[in-house]
Amino acid sequence: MTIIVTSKVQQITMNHNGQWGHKGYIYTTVGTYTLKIKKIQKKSKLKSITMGYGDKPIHQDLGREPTELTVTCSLENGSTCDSLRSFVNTLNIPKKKVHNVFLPGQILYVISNSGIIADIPLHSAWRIDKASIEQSNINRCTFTLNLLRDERAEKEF
Amino acid sequence: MAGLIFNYYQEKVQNDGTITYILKKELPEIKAVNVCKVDIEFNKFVVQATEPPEIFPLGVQGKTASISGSFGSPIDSILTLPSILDDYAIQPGYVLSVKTDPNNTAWLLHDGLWKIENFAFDREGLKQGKIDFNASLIYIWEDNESMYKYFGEGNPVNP
Repeated sequence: MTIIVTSKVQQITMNHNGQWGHKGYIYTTVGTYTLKIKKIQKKSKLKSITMGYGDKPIHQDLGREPTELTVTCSLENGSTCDSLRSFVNTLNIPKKKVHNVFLPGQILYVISNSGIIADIPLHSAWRIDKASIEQSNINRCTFTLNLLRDERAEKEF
Repeated sequence: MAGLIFNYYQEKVQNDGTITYILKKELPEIKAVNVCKVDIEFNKFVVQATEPPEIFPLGVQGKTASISGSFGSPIDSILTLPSILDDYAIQPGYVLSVKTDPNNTAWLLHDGLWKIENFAFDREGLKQGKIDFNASLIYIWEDNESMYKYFGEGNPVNP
């Protein structure tokens, strides 16, 4: 299973819908990556509180949490650490460290999802909540990305 | 072939608030690294009450590493590595940096200082001089380095 994503950074601007003085966002593309996905876990949950006072607990819904996705993957052009290291050197990223490829807070926007239909829809935007890079003793580098769906951002792309 | 060797530093805060690192020693060679992992997380504020929910980025939480491997090998004598088992040999709060790593077994830790959060040893009687370890490390940010600049405000900083 492979997907192609573009990673974007969000910047604040004081211009929104052509009007100055209103806060808006601009999204700058940092890079395009092809991800080979090994495992996906998708989670949706409700934000709620339960108060246990009195004879009957009171349950209150506060809305829903953003859909959460845990993806274990590797970069197609850098599945071994050696190839990943040379790939990182070609990227236009601040400080050419592999930690900076998937910066938490960045948005991954799906431009191709061949082989995956339901989990990661085309043209969906996912905010990187946590990124883990693991180097194993067989010299493979695996990324585990915790992603939160950012439906507000994807309306702007 | 040589393995991974860490330099071991003590952190000193000067009167003017600057921090210096004093090299105390180099740790014995780590012959095998099983897993080396780096985690980066960000702080956010989520408003669930709106539809769809809205995510506001607040900055980067930090960067932590975990590494596991072993000093020595099963056929080595334990007497070759007594120094690292001492209570004061490897202490939390001290700082590590990679001195040599010819096989790139822990290249995620290269070019940086990592503070020891915890360091645990694990030994088996039958395995003589093979001393397994697990360590959690916290990345020490350099003065001119900030992930916060890359989103939320300003332009990404050029390499």
